[in-house]
Amino acid sequence: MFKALLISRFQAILYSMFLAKKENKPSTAGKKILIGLLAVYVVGAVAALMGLMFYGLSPLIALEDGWLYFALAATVAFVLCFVGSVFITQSQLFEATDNELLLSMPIPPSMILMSRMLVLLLINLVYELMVLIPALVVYGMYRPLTGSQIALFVLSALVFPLLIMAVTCLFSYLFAFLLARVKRRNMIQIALYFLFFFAYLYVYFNLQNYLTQLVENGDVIADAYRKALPPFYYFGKTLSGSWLDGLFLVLWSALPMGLILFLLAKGFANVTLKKTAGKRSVYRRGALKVSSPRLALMKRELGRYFAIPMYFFNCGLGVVMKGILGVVLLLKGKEWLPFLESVPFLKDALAPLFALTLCFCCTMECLTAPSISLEGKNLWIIKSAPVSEETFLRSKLEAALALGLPSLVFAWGCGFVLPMNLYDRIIALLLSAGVLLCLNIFGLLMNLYFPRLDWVSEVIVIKQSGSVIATVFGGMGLVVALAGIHFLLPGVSYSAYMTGALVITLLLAAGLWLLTVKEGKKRYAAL
Amino acid sequence: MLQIQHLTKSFGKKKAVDDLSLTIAAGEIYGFIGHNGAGKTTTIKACCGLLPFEEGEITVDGISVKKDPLECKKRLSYLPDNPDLYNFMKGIQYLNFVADMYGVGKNEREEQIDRYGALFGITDDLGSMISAYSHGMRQKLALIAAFLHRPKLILMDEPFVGLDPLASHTLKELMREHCDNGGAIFFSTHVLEVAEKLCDKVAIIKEGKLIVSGETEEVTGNTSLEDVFLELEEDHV
Repeated sequence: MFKALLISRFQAILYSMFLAKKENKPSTAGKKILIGLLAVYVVGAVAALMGLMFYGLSPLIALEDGWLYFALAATVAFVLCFVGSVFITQSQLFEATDNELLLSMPIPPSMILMSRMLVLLLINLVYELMVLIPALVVYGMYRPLTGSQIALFVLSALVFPLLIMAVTCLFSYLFAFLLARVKRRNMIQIALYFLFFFAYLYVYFNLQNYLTQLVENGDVIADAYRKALPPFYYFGKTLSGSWLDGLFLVLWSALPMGLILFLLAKGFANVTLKKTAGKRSVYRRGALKVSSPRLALMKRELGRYFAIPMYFFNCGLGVVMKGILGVVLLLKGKEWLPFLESVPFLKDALAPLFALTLCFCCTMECLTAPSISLEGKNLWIIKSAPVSEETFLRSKLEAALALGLPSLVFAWGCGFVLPMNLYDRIIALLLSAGVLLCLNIFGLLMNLYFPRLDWVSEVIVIKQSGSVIATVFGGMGLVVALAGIHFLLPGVSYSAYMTGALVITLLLAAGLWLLTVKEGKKRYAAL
Repeated sequence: MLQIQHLTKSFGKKKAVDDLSLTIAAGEIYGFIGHNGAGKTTTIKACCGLLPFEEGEITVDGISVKKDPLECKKRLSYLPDNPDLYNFMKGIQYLNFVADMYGVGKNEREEQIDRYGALFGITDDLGSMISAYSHGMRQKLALIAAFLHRPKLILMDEPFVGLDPLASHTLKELMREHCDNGGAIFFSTHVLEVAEKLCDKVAIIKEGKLIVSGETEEVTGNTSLEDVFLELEEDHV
């Protein structure tokens, strides 16, 4: 039974990754290679970053037999795994669409949970190894590794994810439990996503400070680990070569996991079914607002942005980033001025740099990229309505701009603290708005080429679809290309360069839109 | 109202509908019967412009579905066999959205929603999110949306599935009323008793081909529709 459950989990993952939908044909070798290369790139980039970080922590290897170094490595792994898997854990455990079906079968809830957890455990193991392997390599550069240490590394790496999973599952359970009981659950979920993301960014940008403090206060931190964080302490001691501490680590990892599994199995049905029961409220008749089809479609699109928390978090990040940029400019802009004006290059290039910063924020917005896929099984509603393909596509573009432009104008308006002439200021706004327009048309076009309508979870089309990946990388490529134009035209004034970039962007947007309308009709009809 | 002439639709090498011709006049309730995979849904989807087709012609109120699909869609309503609706909307928001799509005036939409909401006993639930609706409630909501803009032609795929007996009865009365007022309904069903009692005409399709069609009484003769259907199925094995 457990084996069957586990196979179905893996089948679901492979199906979502390697099957070109509609015709259910296996995906091409090209797509598999692309996914493989992307995975290698992501894993390689993270591992390289971790390697650099542990290189900075290398003075700790000499302290306390090196256990403190490994305890810190375990802490980093714990944080990365927790942040990386807490929301997946919640959606996989408590929001899976087949929970009701499985609970109706004679399968103990603990077995359903275990089958899901094992998959999550593997995800955590990958995250963990991206941290621990670079840590071990850096350690090996300073001290020779013994056979016993390598064996203990394997043991620790295998059991430590159990502890991470225990904490992640507990948090996910509490999260699901609370969300099932609150109003405006989607908004709370979006806020929490951003909270986690910005906490992560904050730690990342202050990492160097933390590393310095860690190296300088090694003794104090070692004492704190010993007293307050026993699992991390035992992890460090184990990797410094102690088999007895390895036993303690196994106990500290396996026992909490067993306890959590027992507790979650008890409340699993309760939380899962509570979610699907839904709240009902009695309708009170009021005047209905009449809109044109185009406006109604746009309002519908805007409603969807906030109805799926992962959608706005993943594809609308630029909206928040522009807001933050504006606030930072207001609060810190004047403080930065003396520095900016003291560097001749920066002083002169302030307008294009400001414009490119706004453009870069816009590249984090690809709300149109999964928007056609997100129609899913609801597509019949629009396809059977008297709405032209162009109106349908335009409404998606307009909704994305309705959300993206106000935040852009806000960030741009906050840029008044930066000295630049009125012409450059206006071109900066138009150029970034042009990039936003370009990207959203491109996203729409990509989704018409790579639609995916038969998803079981929206997260798949939001996070894994080719259209989203192409749009994000395409946007970044566009901004890099626009910046690169300047270097091809030495001697051209910044104002002229920005005007040229604006013309190119608008021409590109117009070309993309014509292609979208022309190709869109054919592709839309085939959906 | 609806004319299907020599419709052929293939999926790959398989012909889902093969040279099918039917005429549904104003005032008629036309039942479309066939086993699973016979081509009923494909035909209905082609009629409302959801599926492009290779051969043949379909006209709604004299307008070609191929040449002017938007004009056709203004005149018809479609109800799929398993209506997936927007879970992120409330029931009333969905109906208002559909009314916007078809350009229904403010007073008219309010009257229509009041009327059909009361008939299907769903008015109180219109303030709830669709995600909280049962299958039957979704079906009722989709039915209200189908009647909302007073279409001339209603195309329905298994409209009785999931409805409680009272709602089924209400739907039958509404279908009759719609056709008495000059509209037309073309619907597929597996419930042969309902088709026999309700339909003015029926058509039986097998493996994409029309086997028999005509006035219900003519098709059934002295036997029941169920007997005719089973007999025809055996004849074509």
